[in-house]
Amino acid sequence: MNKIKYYILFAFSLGVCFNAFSQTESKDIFKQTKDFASQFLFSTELLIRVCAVLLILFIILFIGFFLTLMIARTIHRRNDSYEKRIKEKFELLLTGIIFIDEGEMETREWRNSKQRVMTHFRSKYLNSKKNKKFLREHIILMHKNFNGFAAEVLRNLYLEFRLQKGAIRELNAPDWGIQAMAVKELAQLNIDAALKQIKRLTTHENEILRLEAQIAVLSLDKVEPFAFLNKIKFQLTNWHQVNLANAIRQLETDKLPQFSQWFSSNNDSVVLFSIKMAQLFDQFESIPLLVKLLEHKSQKIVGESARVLGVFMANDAQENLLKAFRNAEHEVKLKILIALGKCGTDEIIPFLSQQLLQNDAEIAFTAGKALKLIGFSGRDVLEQNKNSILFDVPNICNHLLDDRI
Amino acid sequence: MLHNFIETLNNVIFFYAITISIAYVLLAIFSARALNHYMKKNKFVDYNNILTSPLSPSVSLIAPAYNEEKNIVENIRSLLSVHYNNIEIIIVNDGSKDNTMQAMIDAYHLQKVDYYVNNQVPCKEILGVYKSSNKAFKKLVVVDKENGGKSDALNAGINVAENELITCIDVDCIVEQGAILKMVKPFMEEDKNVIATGGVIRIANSCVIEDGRLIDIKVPEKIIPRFQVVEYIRAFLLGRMAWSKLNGLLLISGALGLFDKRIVIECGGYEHKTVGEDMELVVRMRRYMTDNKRKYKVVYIPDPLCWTEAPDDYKILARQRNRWMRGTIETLWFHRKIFFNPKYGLLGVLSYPFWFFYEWLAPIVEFLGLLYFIFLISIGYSNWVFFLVLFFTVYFFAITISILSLVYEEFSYRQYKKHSEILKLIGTLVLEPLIYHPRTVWWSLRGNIDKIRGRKSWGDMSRKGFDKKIVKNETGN
Repeated sequence: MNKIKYYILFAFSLGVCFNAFSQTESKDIFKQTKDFASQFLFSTELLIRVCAVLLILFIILFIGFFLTLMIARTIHRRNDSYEKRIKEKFELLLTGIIFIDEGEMETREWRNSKQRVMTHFRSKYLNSKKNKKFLREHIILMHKNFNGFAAEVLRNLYLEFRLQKGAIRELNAPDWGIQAMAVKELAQLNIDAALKQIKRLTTHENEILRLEAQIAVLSLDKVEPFAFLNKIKFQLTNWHQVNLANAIRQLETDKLPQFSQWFSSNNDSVVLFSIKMAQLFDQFESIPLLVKLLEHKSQKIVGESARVLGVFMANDAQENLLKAFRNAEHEVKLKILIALGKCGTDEIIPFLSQQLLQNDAEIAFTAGKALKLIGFSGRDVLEQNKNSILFDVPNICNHLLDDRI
Repeated sequence: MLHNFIETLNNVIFFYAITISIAYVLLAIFSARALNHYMKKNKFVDYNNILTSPLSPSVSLIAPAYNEEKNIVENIRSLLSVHYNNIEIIIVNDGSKDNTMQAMIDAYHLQKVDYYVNNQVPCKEILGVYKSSNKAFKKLVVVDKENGGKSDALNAGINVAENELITCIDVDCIVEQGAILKMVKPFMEEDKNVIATGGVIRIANSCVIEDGRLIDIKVPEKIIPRFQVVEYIRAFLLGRMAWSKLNGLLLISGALGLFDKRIVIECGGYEHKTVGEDMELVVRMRRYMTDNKRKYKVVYIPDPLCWTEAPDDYKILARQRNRWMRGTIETLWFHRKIFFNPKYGLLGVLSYPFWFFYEWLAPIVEFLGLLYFIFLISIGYSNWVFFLVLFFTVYFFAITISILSLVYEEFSYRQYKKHSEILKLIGTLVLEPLIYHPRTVWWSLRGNIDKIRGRKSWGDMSRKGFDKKIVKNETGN
């Protein structure tokens, strides 16, 4: 109804405007505009001229794109085959040095051979920017695939060729892509000469550069590798978290901090990340603080804390989980039910049985799952409810008791 | 009087053509920027991190199958080899009349289990859910149900799915092994709530395929699928990339899409009343999010993730295009409330009107324009010089846009390696506006007529199959 009112009002306004135009001298302006449009803007001669210009433009563009395509294809093919050839050579030369027994390393023969290879590299490849880039890329690739002695030899070669200078210079490049690549390179080869500069990049506004810098700091900084978690202003996306977690997994476990120290962070994504890390590295000491987080204002944090308490089988958290359940959102309720199944005792069975009979099928099914997780007594409840008269309950129980699923 | 009328009509058509051309140029510019940014970003991505991380989201892959007995075992094997850890593969047998179900039971040692199905979205009766007794296939779930069409089968799969994300695919497509990893990433990296992602669909005709995997990529030998290669590259690299950048994407191809299961369920799942269920679902999900004042994003990724067999004769292609047009009309009609409705933001004022004017209306305007031109000739009212200049301008504009999409392809994925293949594609795009495009206009027009007549079927989509055997597929699954 309201809409109709607006339409009438709009039509009325249009009418008033039109009348105003036609009854005043604006009538002339209207006519002049129309004449201008028909004589100038839409005149056939002009349109033909415009189209002819556009036609020439499109023909030139077509030929331009065609040539771009063919030239790009030729250049790409040539570059690819050159890169392939040069990298094959690098591989041959580098593997000659790295594939020797550790005992042979200090022999004069090996030193001579290494010297020969290095002289060869210097005279033939390192004077070209392109080859230098390929060499850097290839050393990094090989370094990724080897560890121990071979990786150390590759790192030394990289340093002896002073390739790190290029990477450190690139840390100040205006393009974030170049900066991030340089950070990645220095981190891969464990070169901490530019740690201060890299640390500064951990709060950069570009998320990829920020992530690369944080990953680099984790491996390069021996004093306080996790300090960046205190300064994070941006949200840690799940993608960011997965990458950080992967980098943390490469570190020595005994050097890891207690992640619960970030449970009180103002940044919710840091709290979520810390909870996940506490679980990933079995930091059972964080259970009391996890219990406290069940009262957090963010439902995401409540859900994550509940999940981890479940994984930790924190029996003592049963009461707090029950309390959190009452005010939780639907999604979080499901997480709490599973947590109760994992960490709950027989005392929780009446509550779970009650939830099994709920109208909400998702809650009922998850409560059933929780009962199954509790063990024999929980399974007994499912057996008893197999013949329930409530609509979905027998199906849920049958599903959960079918061990083939 | 007649002169004035003709002049006005000419101007209207001319203005329409100008706006459509400007729209394509703008889309090309947006796409270039988006593609460049994506390629640069992707240099730093290690998808193995998703593969090995316990923090990655869980995915249910749903593939409906109808009368696929000849290929189903191979197709499932191919799906089981997809790289993703936390995944379940749900095959929905949509009441096949052949031995599809038995073939699966025999090959994968399936047993009927007491599976609880929470019917959250409407679908026909599920006759049984099967799991394999062989632990090697523990990710596999097979659903046997009454025939109800593709939307119904997908809804059944959604009801059975246990994981947070669902990916809906055509069972006869060849999915890249890393496809799920790439599609999951936007769900993990965006601050905004990502509700759906889609990737590039490519044409697999003439490609070398072994054990359900793509071994060698080639340009199709036949001209009809080759036309479609040019069309797909243009549509995916030039169009959808730009719409994704603008967060105005309306369509995620039914061949492969990843969705937030909770949002799909809250929206009511796939719609049965349309033959364009893929587009309709995306529009409904977007509308739902806006109505509920929730921030969201639909993301498209330019990686080629899925390879499909394109129709290689005009008869089947005509049916496909007819259906696509009917699907577009149905979706636009169901969601007409969005049209120029500022409440829906970009969706209402740009995406929807673009589809309305340039996807639905364009073939009609084009056809009527042709009739009008014939009428003008018959009354001796034609300016041949203008006609020829305009004709060649439009022609060169069309092929310039097409070759630009090949330039994008060259600077991004370079799927076709040989010079000769590029030359073949250039030859095809030069012919396309003259041979192929008029037909697509006609098929779209027929789609409009069939819609008015009330036609609702998918049409028989016979495919030769990658192993050169004929596979009949009535629901188009």
